[in-house]
Amino acid sequence: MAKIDKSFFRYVWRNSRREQITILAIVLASLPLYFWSLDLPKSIVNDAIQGRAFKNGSATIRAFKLVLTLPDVLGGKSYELFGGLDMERATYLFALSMLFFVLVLINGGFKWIINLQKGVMGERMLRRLRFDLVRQLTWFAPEDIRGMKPAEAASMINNEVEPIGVFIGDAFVQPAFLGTQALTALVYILVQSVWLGIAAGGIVAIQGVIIPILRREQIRLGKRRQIASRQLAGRIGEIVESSPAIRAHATDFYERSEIGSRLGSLFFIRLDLYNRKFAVKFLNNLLAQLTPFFFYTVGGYLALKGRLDVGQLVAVIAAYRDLPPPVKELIDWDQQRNDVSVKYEQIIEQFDVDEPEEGEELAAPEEVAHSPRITVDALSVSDIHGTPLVENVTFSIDEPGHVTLGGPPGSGGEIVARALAHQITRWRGSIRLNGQDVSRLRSGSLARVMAYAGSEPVLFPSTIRDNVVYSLRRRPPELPGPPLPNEEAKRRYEAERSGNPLEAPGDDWLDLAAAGVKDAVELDHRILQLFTLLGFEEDIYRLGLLGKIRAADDEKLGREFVAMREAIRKRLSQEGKSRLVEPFDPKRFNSNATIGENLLFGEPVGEVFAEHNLPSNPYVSKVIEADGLAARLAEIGLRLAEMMLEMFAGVQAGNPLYERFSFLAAGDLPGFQEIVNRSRSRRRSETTADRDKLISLALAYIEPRHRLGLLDEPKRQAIVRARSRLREMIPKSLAGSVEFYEPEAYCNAAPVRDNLLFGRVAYGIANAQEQVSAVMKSALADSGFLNTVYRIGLDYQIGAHGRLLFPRQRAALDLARCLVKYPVILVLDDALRAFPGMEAKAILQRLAEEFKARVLITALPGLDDAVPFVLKIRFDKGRLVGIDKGGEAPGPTGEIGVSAREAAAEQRSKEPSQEAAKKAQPEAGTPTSAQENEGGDEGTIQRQVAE
Amino acid sequence: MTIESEVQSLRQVSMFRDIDPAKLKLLAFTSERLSYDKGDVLFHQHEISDSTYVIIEGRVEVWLSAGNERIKVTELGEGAMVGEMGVLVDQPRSATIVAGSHVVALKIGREVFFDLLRQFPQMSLAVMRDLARRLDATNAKLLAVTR
Repeated sequence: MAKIDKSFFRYVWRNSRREQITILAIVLASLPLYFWSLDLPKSIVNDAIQGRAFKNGSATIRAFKLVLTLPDVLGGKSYELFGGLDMERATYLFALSMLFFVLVLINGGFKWIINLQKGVMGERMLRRLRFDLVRQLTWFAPEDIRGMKPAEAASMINNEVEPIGVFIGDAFVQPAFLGTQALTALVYILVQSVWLGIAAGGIVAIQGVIIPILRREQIRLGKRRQIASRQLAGRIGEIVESSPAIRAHATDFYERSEIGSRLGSLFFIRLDLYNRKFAVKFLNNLLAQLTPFFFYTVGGYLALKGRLDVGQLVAVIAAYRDLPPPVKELIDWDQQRNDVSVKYEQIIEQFDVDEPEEGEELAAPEEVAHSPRITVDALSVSDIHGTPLVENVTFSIDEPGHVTLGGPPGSGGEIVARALAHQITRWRGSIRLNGQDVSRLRSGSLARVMAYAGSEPVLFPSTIRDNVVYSLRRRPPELPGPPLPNEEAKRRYEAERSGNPLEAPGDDWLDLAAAGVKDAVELDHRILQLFTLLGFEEDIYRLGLLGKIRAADDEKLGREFVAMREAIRKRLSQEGKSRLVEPFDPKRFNSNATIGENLLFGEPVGEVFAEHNLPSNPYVSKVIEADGLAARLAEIGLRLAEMMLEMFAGVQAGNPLYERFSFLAAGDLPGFQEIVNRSRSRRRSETTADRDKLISLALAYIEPRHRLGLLDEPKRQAIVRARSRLREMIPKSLAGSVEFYEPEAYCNAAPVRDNLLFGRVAYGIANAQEQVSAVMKSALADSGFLNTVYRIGLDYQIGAHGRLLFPRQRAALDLARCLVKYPVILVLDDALRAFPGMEAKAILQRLAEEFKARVLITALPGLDDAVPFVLKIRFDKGRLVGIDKGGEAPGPTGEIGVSAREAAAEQRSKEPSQEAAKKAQPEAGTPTSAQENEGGDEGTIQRQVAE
Repeated sequence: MTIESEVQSLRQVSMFRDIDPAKLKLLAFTSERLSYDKGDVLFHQHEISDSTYVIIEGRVEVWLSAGNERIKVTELGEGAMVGEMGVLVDQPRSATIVAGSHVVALKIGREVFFDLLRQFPQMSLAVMRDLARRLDATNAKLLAVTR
């Protein structure tokens, strides 16, 4: 498929020729009837009303006689097709009027069909245009796409294209439809009276000349408005992205005023637009009103003189009524045409990129895997300013194993790694894979054999699983053949007509064979295997425990998890660890849960019963008011507030202690001081607001954790009593906002962990969490549910850009994505940065082991010598300075160069490319490095001596 | 067991003797009170130093390991602080601490500890004094060994 045409009309014509012609044909078909409908009023006035048809005084005429007369060439014979009907004057009038009415209906019908077709065609073209733009977006070279602002691109494809799509329907049809209609009307008028025709034509001509001139300025303003509003969208996107910086530097006022001034200039552009628009409108209306004036005076005068009959005058006036609207719309069309072509060209310019050439297909992965050979010949890469990043690098990788691109951070190894993985596409020299030039490969064929992980993983707001299997989403599913269900047939038909892909997104896209698995369950196993390799499986387990399942979807699993509660409890008691968990008991206070949790004894669904909302919830207030519990809770809150005030006196606001330990934020302290003062001075008369605040403090209290000695047995019992009241009397309207804990039922709103434990881990016992976790894990393993929990963990939603994960989890996810497709070559470009030193080394070791028979190419600052390699290519200042072969053992100490890792991180935080390049320059061309460089791959082999 | 009684215990610790009770309460509140059974490990040698411990009840054993050998260096009792050295110099744990009996300890997080040191010069002084005393004792031992 070629790229989008630069010219709007060519693009539209090329992609909707068939539809346009069909609609044009319908337009043409409608014209004769339209002409007739213009002529009919004349007959009605002259023949029927004025009785000209009954000229011989006869009472009836034979109406609607149809006679076909052949031209003289064909013999000039006449055939009577329809004998006609005898009609009186009144009947004739009604018959003609009815005919007129029918013609109006038919014309309306034509209009309807034409509009509908236009709309559908416009939508199809809009779909195609958007799709083509997105497709072109995927063609951009990695170097070029970085310059594009995501919000602006989105605004272009989404919003700015919209009016273009609406216009596409009109592009050809509107001028044809309106033009022929106006022309028909004008011709009709001319036939009736040349003078009136000239007058009408003249005014139309004036309209057609002056108004577009006036509108030109309007178009210019419109364009400015478009650019300004697109920039506004871009700026808003920037504000969202830079919100941490805005907060950190308190530049919000500046940002606001900047946006304010942009909105201001938008306003003034609009204001100018309005001024023009209504001036043009005024002129338009004036001209439209002027013509009837001519018609009544001139036409009336001609009628008086007998040069025009009344029927003609009426018909001309009626025909003229049809003339200005099409002309006006034609002018509108012309303006839109201008506007839309400019807009279109503007947008297309932004997406101007050539389709990647249909390159060669790479040899099958198995073949590549058999004997991977990578040759890099005289590779040079420069940054956008032309400063060289690496120069004249030549080496080859001839056997599988671990290849290190080493050297001090920023010395060029990472650039070579990126070039190898085609993350950089502009280079000089050549990179060949088994003899094939990688820059000439068909797009996507490299991805089948190679995976690349950089330091900044690209993650999607979806589940962990979806993110991992993303690399397998490359096999278009087979389209089932006919017969198709109606819906599907329709979907496909429309997709085809808009040049969209026929395949729908879905799980079928997964290339399971590439991952070496048969089905989804095996795939999950494989993912977990990879996570084990990457030290991420414990995280998945934990995320699984935090996950929620809907027991309604999987009733059996819910029941089985409920049954696990007993098994876990039993195991705990067998191991003498019962005291580590305090189980939930509807009749007992759970001292390791907050007071709020004890009161609700369930999981809130939504915000209604969230702990911070409980005190102000009218229903809850009523329940705790009943036996004076509210007063007791307020008392606990008061004591808490007093203690917090005492303890945190003198601790500066902003101290992390508040955040981590206090019941209240530093900013709340003065407020609570006042509440405490008020309560002390006149104890009973505290306000409800005060009391709610105090109660909400109390609700977060956990005795064994906070150890302030605020709970006694009567209070506990009062809370348990309130708990059962709360549950028994809950109104229907609120019942859906909480899911109460039930010893025998799965609680959907609660995480898996809480469901399995059905209790709280005790505070104050060393390593209680870990011990309980271990017991749970072994119990799950014994009953075969461990994998279920892992799989629930894979369903964890990671948020936008994976923000709900830690950096090392994000990095692990990205690596798993690379590994799951079994690449023959894996390129790691500082991909282990997020891991602590020891862990990074361990992961690299396992990866090197995994890739023994494949190729692992690493540019990992600080990990050059951490694990054995078959080849180490050393870089310095953008040049290759040496190649070491077959390091059997890690470097002299086996320690990880922490300082190098830090230096690398620092390097990245500066402008990476330029910095490296500047450093590279003064040294370039020194004899030693040049010599070694030319001496190339095999010449200067240095054996690393194992210690 | 409430904070009040912990504050009483903390006052027995030489380091905290001069500190205002309200601040001791804050210290107790912001730290975790943990109980250990005999033989439980408070922390292992070479682990990351993320917190210090004040022994409130019971006694702990200090173990060093080098290669395959393990030696018990000393025992510490109520009022002792362990693990502060690693936190102060940001180094891994230099020894393994094992509960020699039933032990109750206050675990003070690294940040809280530093925060307290920064806020209360008396406490910094006390820590210094304690470390100096320990250094002195080590020197004496060293002298005894070399002689």
